[in-house]
Amino acid sequence: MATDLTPAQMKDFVRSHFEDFVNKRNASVIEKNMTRDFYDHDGPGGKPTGVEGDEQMMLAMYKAMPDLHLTIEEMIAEGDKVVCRNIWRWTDPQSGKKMQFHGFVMWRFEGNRIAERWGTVTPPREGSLWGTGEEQTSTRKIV
Amino acid sequence: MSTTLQPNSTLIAAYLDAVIRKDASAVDRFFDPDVEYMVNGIPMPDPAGVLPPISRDCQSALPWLGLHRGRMAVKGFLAHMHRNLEVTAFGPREVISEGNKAAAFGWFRLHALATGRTVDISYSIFFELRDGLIVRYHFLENTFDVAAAFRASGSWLIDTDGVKHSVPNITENKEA
Repeated sequence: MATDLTPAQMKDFVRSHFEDFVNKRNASVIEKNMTRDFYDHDGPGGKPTGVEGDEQMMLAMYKAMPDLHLTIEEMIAEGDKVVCRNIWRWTDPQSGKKMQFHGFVMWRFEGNRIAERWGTVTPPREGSLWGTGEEQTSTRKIV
Repeated sequence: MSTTLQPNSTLIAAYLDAVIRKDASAVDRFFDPDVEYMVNGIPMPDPAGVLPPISRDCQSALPWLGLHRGRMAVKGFLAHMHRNLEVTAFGPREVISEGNKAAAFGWFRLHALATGRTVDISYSIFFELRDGLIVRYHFLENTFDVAAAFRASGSWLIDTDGVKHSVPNITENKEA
Protein backbone atom coordinates (compact mmCIF):
# COMPACT_ATOMS: atom_id res chain seq x y z
CA MET A 1 0.00 0.00 0.00
CA ALA A 2 1.30 3.44 -0.86
CA THR A 3 1.18 6.30 1.59
CA ASP A 4 -1.62 8.85 1.66
CA LEU A 5 0.75 11.50 3.00
CA THR A 6 2.77 14.14 1.18
CA PRO A 7 6.51 14.42 1.91
CA ALA A 8 5.82 17.45 4.12
CA GLN A 9 3.15 15.54 6.05
CA MET A 10 5.47 12.54 6.48
CA LYS A 11 8.17 14.82 7.91
CA ASP A 12 5.67 16.39 10.34
CA PHE A 13 4.59 12.89 11.34
CA VAL A 14 8.18 11.81 12.07
CA ARG A 15 8.90 15.02 14.04
CA SER A 16 5.80 14.43 16.12
CA HIS A 17 6.65 10.76 16.61
CA PHE A 18 10.14 11.51 17.93
CA GLU A 19 8.83 14.30 20.15
CA ASP A 20 6.28 11.99 21.78
CA PHE A 21 8.24 8.71 21.70
CA VAL A 22 11.57 10.09 22.94
CA ASN A 23 11.36 13.60 24.37
CA LYS A 24 7.92 13.33 26.02
CA ARG A 25 8.57 9.74 27.13
CA ASN A 26 5.33 8.42 25.70
CA ALA A 27 6.43 4.97 24.53
CA SER A 28 2.93 3.74 23.80
CA VAL A 29 2.56 6.27 20.96
CA ILE A 30 4.37 3.70 18.82
CA GLU A 31 1.19 1.59 18.82
CA LYS A 32 -0.72 4.47 17.19
CA ASN A 33 2.01 5.60 14.79
CA MET A 34 3.14 2.26 13.36
CA THR A 35 1.27 -0.27 11.24
CA ARG A 36 0.25 -3.49 12.97
CA ASP A 37 2.96 -5.40 11.11
CA PHE A 38 5.62 -2.68 11.54
CA TYR A 39 9.10 -4.10 10.91
CA ASP A 40 12.24 -2.54 12.37
CA HIS A 41 15.14 -3.98 10.37
CA ASP A 42 17.69 -2.64 12.87
CA GLY A 43 16.15 -2.96 16.31
CA PRO A 44 17.93 -3.36 19.66
CA GLY A 45 21.25 -5.17 19.24
CA GLY A 46 20.99 -4.75 15.48
CA LYS A 47 18.30 -7.42 15.30
CA PRO A 48 14.91 -7.03 13.62
CA THR A 49 11.93 -6.37 15.85
CA GLY A 50 8.41 -4.95 15.83
CA VAL A 51 6.29 -2.51 17.79
CA GLU A 52 6.64 -4.34 21.10
CA GLY A 53 10.43 -4.69 20.84
CA ASP A 54 10.93 -0.99 20.12
CA GLU A 55 8.50 0.03 22.87
CA GLN A 56 10.36 -2.12 25.41
CA MET A 57 13.67 -0.66 24.22
CA MET A 58 12.42 2.89 24.78
CA LEU A 59 11.07 2.08 28.24
CA ALA A 60 14.51 0.75 29.17
CA MET A 61 16.15 3.89 27.74
CA TYR A 62 13.86 6.16 29.83
CA LYS A 63 15.14 4.38 32.95
CA ALA A 64 18.82 4.38 32.00
CA MET A 65 18.84 7.91 30.52
CA PRO A 66 16.44 10.06 32.59
CA ASP A 67 17.00 13.30 30.65
CA LEU A 68 17.25 11.66 27.22
CA HIS A 69 16.58 14.17 24.46
CA LEU A 70 16.66 13.78 20.68
CA THR A 71 17.20 16.48 18.09
CA ILE A 72 16.57 16.03 14.40
CA GLU A 73 19.51 17.73 12.72
CA GLU A 74 18.42 17.09 9.11
CA MET A 75 15.44 15.46 7.45
CA ILE A 76 14.55 14.70 3.84
CA ALA A 77 11.59 12.92 2.26
CA GLU A 78 10.83 11.41 -1.13
CA GLY A 79 8.07 9.06 -2.26
CA ASP A 80 7.00 7.03 0.78
CA LYS A 81 10.22 7.47 2.78
CA VAL A 82 11.74 9.89 5.27
CA VAL A 83 15.38 9.98 6.36
CA CYS A 84 16.60 11.79 9.49
CA ARG A 85 20.00 12.56 10.92
CA ASN A 86 19.51 12.57 14.68
CA ILE A 87 21.55 13.19 17.82
CA TRP A 88 20.51 11.55 21.09
CA ARG A 89 21.86 13.24 24.23
CA TRP A 90 21.62 12.48 27.91
CA THR A 91 23.45 12.77 31.20
CA ASP A 92 24.85 9.54 32.57
CA PRO A 93 23.21 9.24 36.02
CA GLN A 94 26.25 7.61 37.64
CA SER A 95 29.13 9.67 36.26
CA GLY A 96 27.28 12.89 35.48
CA LYS A 97 28.94 12.94 32.06
CA LYS A 98 27.12 14.39 29.06
CA MET A 99 26.71 11.56 26.57
CA GLN A 100 25.50 11.28 22.99
CA PHE A 101 25.07 8.98 20.06
CA HIS A 102 24.22 9.80 16.49
CA GLY A 103 21.99 8.01 14.04
CA PHE A 104 20.74 7.97 10.49
CA VAL A 105 17.23 6.54 10.28
CA MET A 106 14.97 5.78 7.33
CA TRP A 107 11.20 5.28 7.70
CA ARG A 108 8.80 3.86 5.10
CA PHE A 109 5.13 4.82 5.26
CA GLU A 110 2.04 2.81 4.37
CA GLY A 111 -1.29 4.61 4.43
CA ASN A 112 -0.86 7.19 7.18
CA ARG A 113 1.44 5.14 9.41
CA ILE A 114 5.05 3.99 9.53
CA ALA A 115 5.54 0.44 8.25
CA GLU A 116 9.33 -0.08 8.22
CA ARG A 117 12.47 1.34 9.83
CA TRP A 118 16.18 1.07 9.02
CA GLY A 119 18.82 2.67 11.19
CA THR A 120 22.54 3.03 11.75
CA VAL A 121 23.76 4.48 15.04
CA THR A 122 27.15 5.31 16.50
CA PRO A 123 28.30 3.89 19.84
CA PRO A 124 27.53 6.14 22.85
CA ARG A 125 30.37 8.57 23.57
CA GLU A 126 30.96 11.49 25.86
CA GLY A 127 30.06 14.76 24.16
CA SER A 128 29.25 17.92 26.06
CA LEU A 129 27.94 20.12 23.28
CA TRP A 130 24.29 20.09 22.48
CA GLY A 131 24.56 21.55 18.98
CA THR A 132 22.20 23.74 17.04
CA GLY A 133 20.67 21.67 14.29
CA GLU A 134 18.64 22.96 11.38
CA GLU A 135 15.79 20.76 12.46
CA GLN A 136 14.70 20.44 16.06
CA THR A 137 11.91 18.30 17.39
CA SER A 138 11.62 20.66 20.32
CA THR A 139 12.64 24.16 21.26
CA ARG A 140 13.46 22.96 24.77
CA LYS A 141 17.06 23.76 25.68
CA ILE A 142 19.08 21.31 27.69
CA VAL A 143 22.40 22.44 29.12
CA MET B 1 11.98 2.80 -3.85
CA SER B 2 10.00 5.64 -5.40
CA THR B 3 8.94 5.15 -8.97
CA THR B 4 10.05 8.63 -10.01
CA LEU B 5 13.44 9.50 -8.62
CA GLN B 6 14.61 13.04 -8.13
CA PRO B 7 17.71 13.95 -10.20
CA ASN B 8 19.94 13.83 -7.14
CA SER B 9 18.74 10.32 -6.30
CA THR B 10 19.76 9.26 -9.80
CA LEU B 11 23.16 10.89 -9.35
CA ILE B 12 23.75 9.17 -6.00
CA ALA B 13 22.64 5.83 -7.47
CA ALA B 14 25.16 6.35 -10.30
CA TYR B 15 27.90 7.09 -7.76
CA LEU B 16 27.11 3.95 -5.75
CA ASP B 17 27.11 1.90 -8.96
CA ALA B 18 30.58 3.30 -9.75
CA VAL B 19 31.76 2.24 -6.29
CA ILE B 20 30.44 -1.27 -6.89
CA ARG B 21 32.34 -1.38 -10.22
CA LYS B 22 35.48 -0.18 -8.36
CA ASP B 23 35.61 2.69 -10.83
CA ALA B 24 38.76 4.61 -9.90
CA SER B 25 37.44 7.78 -11.55
CA ALA B 26 34.43 8.00 -9.23
CA VAL B 27 36.09 10.43 -6.80
CA ASP B 28 36.92 12.95 -9.53
CA ARG B 29 33.60 12.52 -11.34
CA PHE B 30 31.22 12.69 -8.37
CA PHE B 31 32.94 14.68 -5.60
CA ASP B 32 33.38 18.42 -5.28
CA PRO B 33 37.09 19.37 -5.00
CA ASP B 34 36.42 20.54 -1.42
CA VAL B 35 34.24 17.62 -0.33
CA GLU B 36 33.79 16.96 3.40
CA TYR B 37 34.01 13.17 3.61
CA MET B 38 33.33 11.71 7.04
CA VAL B 39 33.46 8.02 7.84
CA ASN B 40 31.73 7.16 11.13
CA GLY B 41 32.96 10.15 13.12
CA ILE B 42 35.93 12.15 14.29
CA PRO B 43 38.43 11.33 17.07
CA MET B 44 38.39 14.83 18.60
CA PRO B 45 35.30 16.60 19.98
CA ASP B 46 33.48 18.58 17.29
CA PRO B 47 33.33 22.26 18.36
CA ALA B 48 29.93 22.55 16.68
CA GLY B 49 28.67 19.39 18.40
CA VAL B 50 27.36 18.00 15.11
CA LEU B 51 29.85 15.33 13.99
CA PRO B 52 29.81 12.08 15.98
CA PRO B 53 32.81 11.30 18.18
CA ILE B 54 34.61 7.98 17.76
CA SER B 55 36.53 6.18 20.47
CA ARG B 56 40.31 5.74 20.78
CA ASP B 57 39.82 2.02 20.27
CA CYS B 58 37.86 2.61 17.12
CA GLN B 59 40.48 5.00 15.75
CA SER B 60 43.26 2.51 16.61
CA ALA B 61 41.49 -0.47 15.13
CA LEU B 62 40.21 1.23 11.99
CA PRO B 63 42.62 4.12 11.38
CA TRP B 64 41.13 5.01 7.99
CA LEU B 65 38.00 6.32 9.73
CA GLY B 66 37.49 10.01 10.40
CA LEU B 67 37.10 13.23 8.49
CA HIS B 68 38.77 13.69 5.10
CA ARG B 69 38.63 17.00 3.23
CA GLY B 70 39.12 17.25 -0.52
CA ARG B 71 39.45 14.71 -3.32
CA MET B 72 43.10 13.87 -2.58
CA ALA B 73 42.30 13.05 1.03
CA VAL B 74 39.38 10.87 -0.10
CA LYS B 75 41.66 8.99 -2.49
CA GLY B 76 44.15 8.51 0.34
CA PHE B 77 41.39 7.18 2.57
CA LEU B 78 40.22 4.73 -0.11
CA ALA B 79 43.77 3.50 -0.76
CA HIS B 80 44.33 2.99 2.98
CA MET B 81 41.05 1.16 3.38
CA HIS B 82 41.62 -1.09 0.37
CA ARG B 83 44.99 -2.20 1.76
CA ASN B 84 43.00 -3.68 4.62
CA LEU B 85 39.72 -4.91 3.26
CA GLU B 86 37.85 -5.92 0.16
CA VAL B 87 34.16 -5.38 -0.45
CA THR B 88 32.97 -8.58 -2.07
CA ALA B 89 29.22 -7.94 -2.40
CA PHE B 90 26.64 -5.21 -2.13
CA GLY B 91 23.04 -5.82 -1.04
CA PRO B 92 19.92 -3.98 -2.18
CA ARG B 93 19.90 -0.32 -1.30
CA GLU B 94 17.48 2.59 -1.03
CA VAL B 95 18.26 6.11 -2.18
CA ILE B 96 16.09 9.16 -1.60
CA SER B 97 16.71 12.86 -2.11
CA GLU B 98 15.11 16.21 -1.49
CA GLY B 99 16.53 19.48 -2.73
CA ASN B 100 20.31 19.41 -2.46
CA LYS B 101 20.36 16.53 0.05
CA ALA B 102 20.19 12.77 -0.40
CA ALA B 103 20.57 9.61 1.65
CA ALA B 104 21.37 5.97 0.93
CA PHE B 105 20.82 2.88 3.06
CA GLY B 106 22.09 -0.63 2.30
CA TRP B 107 24.61 -3.29 3.21
CA PHE B 108 27.89 -4.66 1.89
CA ARG B 109 30.02 -7.74 2.50
CA LEU B 110 33.45 -6.95 3.91
CA HIS B 111 36.44 -9.30 3.68
CA ALA B 112 39.19 -8.40 6.18
CA LEU B 113 42.47 -9.20 4.42
CA ALA B 114 44.48 -9.66 7.65
CA THR B 115 42.18 -12.23 9.23
CA GLY B 116 40.27 -13.64 6.26
CA ARG B 117 36.99 -12.94 8.04
CA THR B 118 33.90 -11.91 6.11
CA VAL B 119 31.03 -9.93 7.64
CA ASP B 120 27.93 -8.20 6.30
CA ILE B 121 27.76 -4.55 7.35
CA SER B 122 24.72 -2.25 7.20
CA TYR B 123 25.55 1.31 6.18
CA SER B 124 23.85 4.65 5.73
CA ILE B 125 25.11 7.78 4.00
CA PHE B 126 23.92 11.37 4.12
CA PHE B 127 24.89 13.46 1.08
CA GLU B 128 24.78 17.15 0.28
CA LEU B 129 25.20 18.21 -3.34
CA ARG B 130 26.31 21.41 -5.05
CA ASP B 131 26.31 21.95 -8.80
CA GLY B 132 25.83 18.22 -9.45
CA LEU B 133 28.73 17.15 -7.22
CA ILE B 134 28.83 15.66 -3.73
CA VAL B 135 30.10 18.32 -1.35
CA ARG B 136 29.28 16.52 1.93
CA TYR B 137 29.46 12.76 2.48
CA HIS B 138 28.72 11.40 5.95
CA PHE B 139 28.92 7.64 6.24
CA LEU B 140 27.84 5.49 9.20
CA GLU B 141 28.25 1.75 9.66
CA ASN B 142 28.31 -0.64 12.58
CA THR B 143 31.93 -0.10 13.61
CA PHE B 144 31.83 -2.87 16.20
CA ASP B 145 31.13 -5.43 13.47
CA VAL B 146 33.80 -3.95 11.19
CA ALA B 147 36.45 -3.92 13.94
CA ALA B 148 35.54 -7.47 14.94
CA ALA B 149 36.47 -8.65 11.43
CA PHE B 150 40.04 -7.46 12.03
CA ARG B 151 40.39 -8.87 15.53
CA ALA B 152 42.73 -11.77 16.30
CA SER B 153 43.91 -12.87 19.77
CA GLY B 154 42.89 -9.62 21.46
CA SER B 155 44.54 -7.36 18.88
CA TRP B 156 43.55 -5.82 15.59
CA LEU B 157 45.63 -6.57 12.50
CA ILE B 158 45.88 -3.39 10.44
CA ASP B 159 47.98 -2.14 7.51
CA THR B 160 48.54 1.54 8.29
CA ASP B 161 51.37 2.50 5.94
CA GLY B 162 52.22 -0.52 3.82
CA VAL B 163 53.38 -2.44 6.90
CA LYS B 164 51.24 -4.82 8.94
CA HIS B 165 50.67 -3.70 12.54
CA SER B 166 49.12 -5.49 15.48
CA VAL B 167 47.11 -2.94 17.47
CA PRO B 168 46.29 -4.01 21.02
CA ASN B 169 42.87 -3.38 22.47
CA ILE B 170 43.62 -0.36 24.66
CA THR B 171 40.45 -0.26 26.73
CA GLU B 172 37.90 -2.68 28.00
CA ASN B 173 35.28 -1.04 25.77
CA LYS B 174 33.15 -3.49 23.91
CA GLU B 175 32.37 -0.84 21.35
CA ALA B 176 34.88 -0.07 18.61
